[in-house]
Amino acid sequence: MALSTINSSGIKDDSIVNADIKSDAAIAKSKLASLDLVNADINASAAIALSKLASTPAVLTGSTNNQITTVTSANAIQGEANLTFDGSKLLINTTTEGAANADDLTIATTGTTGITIRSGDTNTGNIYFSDATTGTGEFAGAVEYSHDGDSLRLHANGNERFRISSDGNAKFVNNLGVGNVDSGGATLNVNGNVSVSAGGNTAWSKVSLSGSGNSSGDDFSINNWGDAEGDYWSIGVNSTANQSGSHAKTNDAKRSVGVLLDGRMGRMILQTSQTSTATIDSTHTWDRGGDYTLTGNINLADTKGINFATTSDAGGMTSELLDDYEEGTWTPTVGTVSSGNTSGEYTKIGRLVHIKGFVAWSSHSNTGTDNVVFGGLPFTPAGVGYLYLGDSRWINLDSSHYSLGIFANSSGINFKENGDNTNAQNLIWSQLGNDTFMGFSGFYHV
Amino acid sequence: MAITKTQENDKIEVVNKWNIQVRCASIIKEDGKELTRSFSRKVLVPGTLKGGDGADKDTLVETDLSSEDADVKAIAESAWGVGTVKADYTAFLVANKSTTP
Repeated sequence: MALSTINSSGIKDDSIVNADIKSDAAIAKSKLASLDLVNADINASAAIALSKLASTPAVLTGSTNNQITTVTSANAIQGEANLTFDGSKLLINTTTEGAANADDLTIATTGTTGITIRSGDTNTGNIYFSDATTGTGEFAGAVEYSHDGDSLRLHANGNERFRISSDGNAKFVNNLGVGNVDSGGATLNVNGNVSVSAGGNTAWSKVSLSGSGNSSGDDFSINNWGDAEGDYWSIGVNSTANQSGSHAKTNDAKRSVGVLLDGRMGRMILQTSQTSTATIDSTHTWDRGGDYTLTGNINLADTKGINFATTSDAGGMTSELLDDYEEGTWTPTVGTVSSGNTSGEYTKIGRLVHIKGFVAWSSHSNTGTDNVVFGGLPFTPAGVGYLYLGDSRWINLDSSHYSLGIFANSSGINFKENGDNTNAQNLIWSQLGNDTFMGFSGFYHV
Repeated sequence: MAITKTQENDKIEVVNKWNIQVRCASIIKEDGKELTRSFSRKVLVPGTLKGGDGADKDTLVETDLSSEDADVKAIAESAWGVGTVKADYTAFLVANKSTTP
């Protein structure tokens, strides 16, 4: 007979099976040989501490229900915090993707939004633009930030093209076109206005263009200085414009030139300097009153001159161009003479030539019947110019003539005896004796 | 300090076919820098009429260029050697023998 009852009164049989134990019996675990539980032994509502599991799975904490995503369909999830991935587009905090060409990842907030790439303090943070899975095509374009030195770099075609350094300076590796233009081969091509807005007085040039580099001071520079009365601007080569209106050379060994546009005084000054000196001279000054002052000569090109066309004209005017001035000496030629003494001076103003001459001899051997003609005029007369004798000796006029006319033409200086009611006649050599001298002057045109 | 003086014919002009206008510049320099420049002028013509009472009185006696500077001589010979320049000049002299101004 099997025991069917275990109670405080005693055990009725020594063969106890599970069926013999009351369902609510409290059996001490020490009375059990082992506890070999399987999932079927665990109540569906059992709360098993994570620490009791053989291995601890990744779990989420701190969220609404501690599950970040929910699979909503094949290859699709729904995040509990507005995270959506439909298999090709990842949306964060939004259900509306971005524009079609940039909708693979959309992040949205109603305020300032950003993405942070945090990297080592000697490393770079990068965003690469790739069209390949190997080679340089993997980083054909890139935005790179280097924490080693702190610089932001833009890459194109696999190479760095632009950099902003930690000090705020920026550089393009190659050329730059501004204003919707290509560089056109220039290092900088600006299609528009250029404004240099660093105001104030400075000893450094506002604009500086490097020269050939063959000598120091060959740069071209633009600078200004000013006060309440106004500014002056300067441009120059081997010339720096400093404060208070002073100019200085960069290299005293070389020449320099600078132009001052002096708005304070309403004038423009050209300043130049010779070699091996620090001295700078104001060689040309154009004043506000219209005056022009220069310290050197005006050198006109051949056939050019000063044009007076804006002045009033006299009747018969044929030219208003003063195109020549010259002064010098000339030597009258008087044929064959002994102890000859000839000299002359001339002044030419425009087409007008004034000559002064002196001839003398102790004796001559020219053919007595030949006309007296002196040569050697400094310029060939264009017509006839009238001269006068200032003084003369030993000229024997014909008895029927009382005066001597003297004129210059293309054959030289000619002499005519003039008489009363008789024709003029040429003076011939036989009428000039020994110890003759003549001093004469006059004008003619060329 | 070195003072130098040089002379050069800085203008040689042919006027009216036969007139050779020559300007000689005297240049004074100090250490190569020009200080002054003064001028002396003359006009060379192809020659003079022989004159006298002979039959050849209207023959041209050509100007002796042997004492002229080489550059003046070259230009004069070139200008006067063209076509009928000398004959034209001779005719001019003959025609102007009795010129009245």
